[in-house]
Amino acid sequence: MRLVLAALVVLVMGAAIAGAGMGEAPAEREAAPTQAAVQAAKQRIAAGGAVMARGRQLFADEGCDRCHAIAAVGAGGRLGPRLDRLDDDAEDIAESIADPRDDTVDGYPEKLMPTDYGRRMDDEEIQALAAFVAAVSGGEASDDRRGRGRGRGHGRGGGD
Amino acid sequence: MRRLLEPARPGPVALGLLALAAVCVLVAGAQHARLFHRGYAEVEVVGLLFLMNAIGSTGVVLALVFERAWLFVLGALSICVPSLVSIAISHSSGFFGFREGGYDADALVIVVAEIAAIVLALLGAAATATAKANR
Repeated sequence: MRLVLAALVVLVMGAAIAGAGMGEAPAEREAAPTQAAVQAAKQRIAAGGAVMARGRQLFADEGCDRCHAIAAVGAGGRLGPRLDRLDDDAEDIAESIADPRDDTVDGYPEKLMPTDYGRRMDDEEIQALAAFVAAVSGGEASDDRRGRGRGRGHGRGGGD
Repeated sequence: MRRLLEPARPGPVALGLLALAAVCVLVAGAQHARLFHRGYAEVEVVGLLFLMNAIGSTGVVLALVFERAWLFVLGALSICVPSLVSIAISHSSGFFGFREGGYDADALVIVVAEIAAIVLALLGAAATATAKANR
């Protein structure tokens, strides 16, 4: 009896630990960008100057890379949506950073992203981070708006 | 130390409490394993701790199955208390750089199961000790 119980515990927990029937991360359903898109994103980061460098640094320092994937910088987070396939401009991204509950991507946990980035970072930092994400996503912001800091993010005055 | 490894035969009440605690430990461990495979594996340190929680939970429950009740109680507390503290930290200042913004159903399952496991394990330990003292 004891051995049967032990075997049952090992079987059930072993299956869970091995991932059987555990599902997949929501981000698994998103395709990674093409190599060409990754290369283009790297070029935009390199050409982006100080704002882009600041945004990239904040992306790592604030822990964004734990949850979000950006192939161009080797970030592989899978808890939140990929940020290199967004179709948002820097302004929308800045608003999402400051108020992540306002507009969430379908299929992802709504409560996971912290809501205090708007307090933890000043306007300039949020604009730099948004400009960086916009640049790597290849969205509208990446080519003609990058680094100009016009995003507002809920009434913020931009500038960088 | 020897007491931890010696077989203990708790009375029916204590055994019931410890068995319920074991179920809670397994639920929390399985939920950690599930979350590990649903994205947390990529989170540095935290992902590994999720996996260790699931493996450790299996180990301590096996200890109870093989009558090491005190080892089970110590193991359950050693897993569940730090896990709850870690969850609380990750929702405030950040745990190894990882921060969460709220308690969704997945997190609540873990919190409830681990709190229940701690309470039941302590009650089971008290019942075991009381029964032994009365013998």
